[in-house]
Amino acid sequence: MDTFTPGILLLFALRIPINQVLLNKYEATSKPVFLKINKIIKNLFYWIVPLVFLGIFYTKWDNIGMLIFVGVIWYLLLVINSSGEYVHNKSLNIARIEGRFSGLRRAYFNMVRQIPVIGKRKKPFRALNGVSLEINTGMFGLLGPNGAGKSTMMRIICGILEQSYGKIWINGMDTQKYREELQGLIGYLPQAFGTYENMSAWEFLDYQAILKGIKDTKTRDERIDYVLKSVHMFERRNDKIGAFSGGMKQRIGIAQILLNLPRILVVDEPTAGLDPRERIRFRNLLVELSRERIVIFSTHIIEDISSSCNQVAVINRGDLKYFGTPGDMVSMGEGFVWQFTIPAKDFDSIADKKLIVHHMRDGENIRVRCLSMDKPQDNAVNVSPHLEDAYLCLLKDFKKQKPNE
Amino acid sequence: MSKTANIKNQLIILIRMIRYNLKIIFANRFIWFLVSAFAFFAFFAIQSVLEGNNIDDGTIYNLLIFPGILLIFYPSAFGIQNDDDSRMLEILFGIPNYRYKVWLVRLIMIYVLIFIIIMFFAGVASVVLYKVNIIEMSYQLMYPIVFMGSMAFMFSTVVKNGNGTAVVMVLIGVALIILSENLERTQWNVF
Repeated sequence: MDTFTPGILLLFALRIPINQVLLNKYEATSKPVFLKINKIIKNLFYWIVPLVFLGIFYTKWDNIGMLIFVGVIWYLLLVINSSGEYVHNKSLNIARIEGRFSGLRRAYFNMVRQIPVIGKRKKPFRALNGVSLEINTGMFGLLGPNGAGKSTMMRIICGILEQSYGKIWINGMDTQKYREELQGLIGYLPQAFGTYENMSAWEFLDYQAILKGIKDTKTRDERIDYVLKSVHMFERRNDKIGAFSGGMKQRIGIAQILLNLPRILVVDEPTAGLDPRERIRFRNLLVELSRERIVIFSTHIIEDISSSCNQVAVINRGDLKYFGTPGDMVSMGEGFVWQFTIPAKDFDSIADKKLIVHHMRDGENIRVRCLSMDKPQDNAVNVSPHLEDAYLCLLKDFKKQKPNE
Repeated sequence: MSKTANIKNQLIILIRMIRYNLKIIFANRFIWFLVSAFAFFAFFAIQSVLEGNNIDDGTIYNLLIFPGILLIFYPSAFGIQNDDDSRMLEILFGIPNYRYKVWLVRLIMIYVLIFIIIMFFAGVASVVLYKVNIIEMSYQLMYPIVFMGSMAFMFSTVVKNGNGTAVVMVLIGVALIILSENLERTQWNVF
């Protein structure tokens, strides 16, 4: 029996060369039969080997309960692993599975995908691609559609993610080398951040302040009072955070990052989900704070940028599309914005061809404002662009496609 | 700064840290685990009395181990998940120089708290059932409890999901129960 185990191991070791030989054969002859043989051998290994091992255990152990337990778990893991591989290899869109037992299959694959390590597989991709910026004191707006790489960039600046390539310098210091030191300079508020809802605002800030290393109780109390006052939340300091509105929670978040008096504030989509009044108040707070420090904030609401930032960058799919002031950014849309009126019955015929920014019913006619490289209609007139138009032009790369304009 | 002021300062920080961390770790749910742990303990205690077995140190030890593991299970397996649910993980990781110490402090606090609760349980058992050395009994019980708690915490960092960790820990528990007879006299017997 003891010669059996090395035999199994030898078989295992043979699996890789056999695989290679069969693949080579397939490449040489391009006969699919070799691939099939390879697949069969692979499956044999995959499913039979545990059985063989269980057989060995059966002869060696005298605990049948443990044997069944090990067998069940082993095969369960194999099934989950192979299902995960199946979903990954065929890049299956689970929501679109149809046919027999589709409900069951969807539920099963969804379950498999939630199991870490053996079921879940992620495809690596490039989130940011050669972005180079120099940010100065003031409000810096980062604009881009969802999934453009804004959050990735902010996390890299804050040292939460490490960049694969490239460098970031703060005051001439490399962030990768002086990470811990520089992190004291940076306050980072993540996009989906939370607080401990069963604590009061003051307690939460006190806890964070202790974590940030403000040891002296008197300094800490003063600091908490100061940050609460600067976000205008001092009156509600003893209320539970769970009772606050969205905007108030955002302000508590800001208060928390102000605790160690950072020179750089990084705020990821702080205005998302706030009502207009809260948004304006919050934006003004950021501008107020940006007088003596850098505030980097990302958004996809263009109004936020135009009314508060003195520097703006537009990124799309990891590429830097624009970097400069909002005022200059408007000029990126010059010559591409057209306005014209057409009869309502003709509207459907143009609706899908041009990039329509907005259209409005005007009696029998429809007044259309659209973006286009060429004159879209005979009666179209060029109008001065807004920031929004410029943004859309940048995303569409109009300027690059027509460099002479 | 004078020395006394410094000590006072440290004390304030210590007390506040304990209070805040307790609020965070056991956010409202811990009381149920405490109640159920005590219920289990009482149930087994009454059962062993009714069966009329000989009660000795070993019986008390076996009575206390299950409530102890029940108590350690929730905070260590679901701690990270709770931080994730309240979306605090990214904030905690943004704190300079402090990334991992936050949870080290919490783990130690959990163990200390469990130690105190176990001492209380052992005290009750000592009064009601059989006189044992409370401190030594609790100290001995802490070995498997700390081991299981740390293992649950380790799995929770690997699995990154509270429920997943619970499944893994239950599987390990089942395996240990099945193997308990074989392992009883070996160094692999955790209990």
